[in-house]
Amino acid sequence: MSFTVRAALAERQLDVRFKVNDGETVALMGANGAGKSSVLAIIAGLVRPDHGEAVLDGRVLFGTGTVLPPHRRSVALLSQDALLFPRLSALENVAFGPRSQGIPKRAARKRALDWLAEAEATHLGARRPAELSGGQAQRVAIARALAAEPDLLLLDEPLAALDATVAPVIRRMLRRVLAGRRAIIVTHDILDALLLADRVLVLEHGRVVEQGTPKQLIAHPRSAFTAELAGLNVIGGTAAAEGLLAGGGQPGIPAGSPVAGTAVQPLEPGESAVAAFRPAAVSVFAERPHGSPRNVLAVTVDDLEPAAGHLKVRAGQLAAEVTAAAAAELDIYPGRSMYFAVKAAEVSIYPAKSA
Amino acid sequence: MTTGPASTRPAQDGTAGLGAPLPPAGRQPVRQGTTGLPAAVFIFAAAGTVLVLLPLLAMALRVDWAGFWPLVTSDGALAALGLSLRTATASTLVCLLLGTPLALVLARSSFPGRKLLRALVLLPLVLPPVVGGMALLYTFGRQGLLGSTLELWGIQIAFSTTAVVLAQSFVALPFLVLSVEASLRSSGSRYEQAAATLGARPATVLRRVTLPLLLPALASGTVLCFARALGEFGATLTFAGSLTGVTRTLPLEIYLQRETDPDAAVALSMLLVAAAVVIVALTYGRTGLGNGARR
Repeated sequence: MSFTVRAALAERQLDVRFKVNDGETVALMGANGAGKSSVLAIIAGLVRPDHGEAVLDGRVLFGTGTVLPPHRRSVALLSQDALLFPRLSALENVAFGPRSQGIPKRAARKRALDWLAEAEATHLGARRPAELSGGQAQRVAIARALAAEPDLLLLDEPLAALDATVAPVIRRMLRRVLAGRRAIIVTHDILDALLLADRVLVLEHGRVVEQGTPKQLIAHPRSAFTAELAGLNVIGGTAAAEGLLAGGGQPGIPAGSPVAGTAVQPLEPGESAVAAFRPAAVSVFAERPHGSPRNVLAVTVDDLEPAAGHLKVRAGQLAAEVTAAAAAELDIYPGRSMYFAVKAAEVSIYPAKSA
Repeated sequence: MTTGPASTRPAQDGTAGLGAPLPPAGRQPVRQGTTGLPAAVFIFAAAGTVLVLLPLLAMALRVDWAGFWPLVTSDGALAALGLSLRTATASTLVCLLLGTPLALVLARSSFPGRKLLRALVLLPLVLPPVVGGMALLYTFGRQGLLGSTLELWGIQIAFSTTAVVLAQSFVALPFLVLSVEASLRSSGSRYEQAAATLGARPATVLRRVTLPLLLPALASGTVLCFARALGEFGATLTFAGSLTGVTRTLPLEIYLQRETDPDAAVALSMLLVAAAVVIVALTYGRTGLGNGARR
C-alpha cells in the first residue's frame, strides 16, 4: 500500500516522481517557485499535469485515460489559510467531509466531535469562523481535513500564516496527529521537517534533487538550499584531486576557483560535487592572508547581521561568523572588499547528485 | 419622505469641507478626507448632487398632498401598481432562476467564446429599452421567429402580461448576472476547491459552499433586478403595449396620466420615487451598489 506519483507540467517546469509509503509523512522543501505547491495541486486534482500518473493504494488518480475529479480522490488538501466555510459553525465545518461522503447527520457529527477533540478544539465547536483567531481556525481546519479521513493528506505550509507564538503549539499538535499517517507537507521551515516528517524531498526548479531523512540532509547537505537550511555554506562544482573546482553562476565565487577539502567518499575527478563548510569555520581578513594552507576567496561584503552571540557577514552565497569585536577591529561594512579564508580540513566534499 | 435622505447629503459635504467628515452611522472608521480635497472638487460635487436631487425636489413641491391619497388609490392607479408589483416580482424570479446559473457559468467555467458571451449577455444594459422591445417583438410577436410557431400552438405572448414579464426580465437580467459574477470572481474558488478535496460532489459544493457565499450578492442583485423591472417602460410599451390591468404598469400609467391628469401622474411618480429610495437604501445598506454593478 503506497502512493506513487510521476507528473510533468511544462508551464511550471515541473517534472517530479516520488513515492510515499503507508504511514509515512514526507516534507516537500525547496526555494520559492520550486513547484512545491503545484505538486500538491496536481495530486489533489486542482491542476491537471501535462502527463504523468498517480496511484494511491492501487487506485489511479490520474494517468493515461483516467482523471479522477478532486472529490473522488480521497486526498484532502489543507492550505496556509484555514478557508473555513464562513456560514457554518466550526463543528459543521468539520462534519462537512463526512456529510459530503454520505454519512448520516448524527454519525457525521459524532465523527466531527472526535476529530475536534483530536485537534484540541472541542471548545470551539459552536463558534463561527469569524469568531476564531488564526491559530484556532487552523486547528479547526486540521480537524476538518482529518475528519474527511483521506487516504492521503496534503498540507501546504499549514503554519506559515500563524503567529510565531501560535505556530509551535499547532506544530506540536500536528506532530501528534500526523504520526503514522500518510501525508505530504510543503514547508519552508527546517523545524517542520525535523518534527513532522519521516523523509524530506528537496525540490529545485521543479525536480527532486535530494532526499533523505531530515537528519541526513542536515548532516550532509548536497545543495545550496539544504546547506542554507542547515546553516552551512555550499559551493557547487566538479570534483578535483584536492577538492573541487567551483562551477559558474555562484555569486561572489569565480568559476574554476579551486576549493580544497576532504571528500566524504571517493569521487571521480570531473564528477559534480559540492563543498560545504560552517560559517563559524570562516575567518575574515582585510588583506589576503599568507602562509598556512587554506582556501582564500576574495569577496565583497553584502551585509552584516546580528546572530546569536556574534555577527554574520554575508557575501554572495557565503556567510562567515565573526565576533562583534572582530567586526569592529576589521572595519567590516557592506560594500567592502575582503577575504574569506577556510582551512581545507573544515571543508567537506560531497557528491552532488542525490543517491 | 424623499427629502429625508436627500437633506443629509449637502450637510455631509459641508462638514467634509471643514476636514472633519464624521460618517453619520459610525460604521466606517474615519479614514477618508485626511489629506483634504481642492475646493473645486466640492463645487462640482455639489453641482452633481443638485442635478440629481433638485428635479426630485421640484416634483415633490408639485404634489397635491391633500389629494395624494385618493389619487394613488384610484382604480387605474391600483390596477397599474398591482400589475407592476406582480410582473416585477415574476421577472425578478425569472432573472434569479436564469441569471444565477449564467453567472456561475461565466465565472467558473472556461470555453471558447466565454468572453464574447459575457459581453452579449450584458448588452441589454446599454441597449435602449425600446430597441429591446423591438427585438422581443420580432422574436415572440405574431410574425416573430418563435411567435409564429407558438401561435400555431395557440400561445400568444406579445401584448400580454407574459410579454411584460419577458420585457422586464430582458432588461433586468444583466443586473443580476453582473452582481453575482462579480462576487464569484472576487471570492475566488479556493473555498470550492477545499470543499472538493474534502469529498464534496459539485452539486454539494454549489449548495453548501458557493450559494451561501453568494447570498449577499444574490440579495443586492435581486433588489437591483426588481428595481429595474419596476421602472421598465420602453421595452414594455413596445412589446406589450398598454392595456389597462394587462400590460399597463405603473410607469406606463404615469406616462399616460401626464396628459390627462398631471396631479395623478405626479402622485404616482412620488410613489415610485419612494420605492427607489427604499431600494437604494437596501442595496447600499448591504454590499453596496458599486461593488455589485462595477466589477
